[in-house]
Amino acid sequence: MKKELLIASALVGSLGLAGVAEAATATMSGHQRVGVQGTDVDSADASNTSSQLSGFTVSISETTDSGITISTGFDLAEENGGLDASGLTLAFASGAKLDLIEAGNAATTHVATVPSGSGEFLVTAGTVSNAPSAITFADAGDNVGFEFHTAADAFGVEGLKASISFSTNGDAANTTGNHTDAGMYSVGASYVSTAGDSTVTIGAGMYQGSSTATDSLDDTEAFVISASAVTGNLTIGLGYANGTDMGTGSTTNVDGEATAWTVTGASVVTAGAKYVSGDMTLSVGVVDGSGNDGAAEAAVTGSDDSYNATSASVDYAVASGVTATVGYSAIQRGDDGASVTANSGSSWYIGATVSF
Amino acid sequence: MKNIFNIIIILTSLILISSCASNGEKKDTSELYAKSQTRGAIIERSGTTMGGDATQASRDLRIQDAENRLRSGGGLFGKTGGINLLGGNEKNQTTSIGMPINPYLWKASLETIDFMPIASADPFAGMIITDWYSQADVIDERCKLNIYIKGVELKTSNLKVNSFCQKLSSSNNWVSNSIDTQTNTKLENTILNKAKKIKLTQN
Repeated sequence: MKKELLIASALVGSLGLAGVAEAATATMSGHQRVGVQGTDVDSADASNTSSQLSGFTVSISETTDSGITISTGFDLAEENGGLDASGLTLAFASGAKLDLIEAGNAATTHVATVPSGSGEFLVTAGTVSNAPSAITFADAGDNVGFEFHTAADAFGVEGLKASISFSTNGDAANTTGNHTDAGMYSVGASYVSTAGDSTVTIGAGMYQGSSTATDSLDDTEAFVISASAVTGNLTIGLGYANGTDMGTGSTTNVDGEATAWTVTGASVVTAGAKYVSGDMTLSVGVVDGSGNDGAAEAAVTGSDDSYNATSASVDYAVASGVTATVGYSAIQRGDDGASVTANSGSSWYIGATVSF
Repeated sequence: MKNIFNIIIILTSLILISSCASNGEKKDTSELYAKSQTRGAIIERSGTTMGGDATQASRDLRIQDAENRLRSGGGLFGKTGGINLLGGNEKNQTTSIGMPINPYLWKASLETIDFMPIASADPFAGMIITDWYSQADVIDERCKLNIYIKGVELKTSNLKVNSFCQKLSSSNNWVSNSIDTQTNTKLENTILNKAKKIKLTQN
């Protein structure tokens, strides 16, 4: 516990030391992403619009006598979202870390990032095709939870880190046919090593969730594995995930239902490369996802939904904290083997991100 | 899959708990981790302060912000993102070169008593002696401090504070108060706290 100086003696009083118990350190940061995005959806004429997304964060931290750093904060603006508190993190002197409340997902923490084109692309997902579009497709969580991270070189293995997380949505009551994530636990680990001139990162994790829908035949569950290799200025990455995703809100989905749908056999393969040349970063990425969607309480039938995306971008670091981006993405979505033209097409983006 | 998952959870928990007890000497692998491409590592070294990790959308935003900071070398105000709302930048103000005492304790001591006049400060002997000091509204009382820093390690036993206070008597003589060990301890704690903060800030 922090030992604070109180007015306890003549010396403290006369020397004005009563106020030495300092406030925690507070930092504010944020970003603004401004640009123009063009969209050419297969079922409609091409259009373009502006994209302005803001983020503003205040973080607060303090270190105790024993060297434990306690940090918290809140995002005042989170792009299209509003206020979002950040829970509590305890960083121990050993290098281990514990996230409490608003904890993350251990599997996601250790996923090796796979390069892809950057920018704001506007081929909307819609509700018909529910194929997964990212290897972290089902890593839900709840505010009531924790994530524990080991220090570096976990278990005495050089380059190994691991995490475990758990969250429970205790305030969501079980009902018949209405899905909400009731809880999720997850483990993740990553290993980084050198191989010749390359640094290779391998990350993997598993997660298992539960649904409030008592008649659901499925639960959210998946495993993910990805690898990334950095050789000089070139980074290449590859990722794979497989499992079952659950959700709500697909009111127009012919396979599912608004209150509880499931995507069984959901799998995603992603690959990408990034090359840094001076202040310029060139990125390309592909994603191939599929899965069979349907109502959660019934056996899923029909063919798989599909998601295929190719993206590319050029990012130019104009100044410290300022990046200009030109990006392009082509997306094809399918529902039970048929193309969903309203949610397929191409999109481009020209914009800048300014961070502070 | 659930059973396998439960077994993995239990095994991992046991290993995590057992790893907390290990206290062996470790090789410096920070260079290796500096090239790690995991989401966690990228977020950690980017300096992003975005939080709120309970939802997938927040997690995606956070990694996006982190990657952009790494691409552009940080934020508008330098490599570490953000502006310190309380002001002050204690970085690069402490050096241990040639000092036989702990530099953090030294700097913290000077900062803690910076409102007092210094009679003598010798970094090689690790000694700070203040002059007599009276608060403006308590002019009949004065105090001075002797601070000794005795070693290079940042630990309690390497710091000793002795305070001396006097009160002005009715005959206009300064009369020494009895030594207040509690105040000395509190002052030591204040300096130690500040030293830890400086160290953590610089690291």
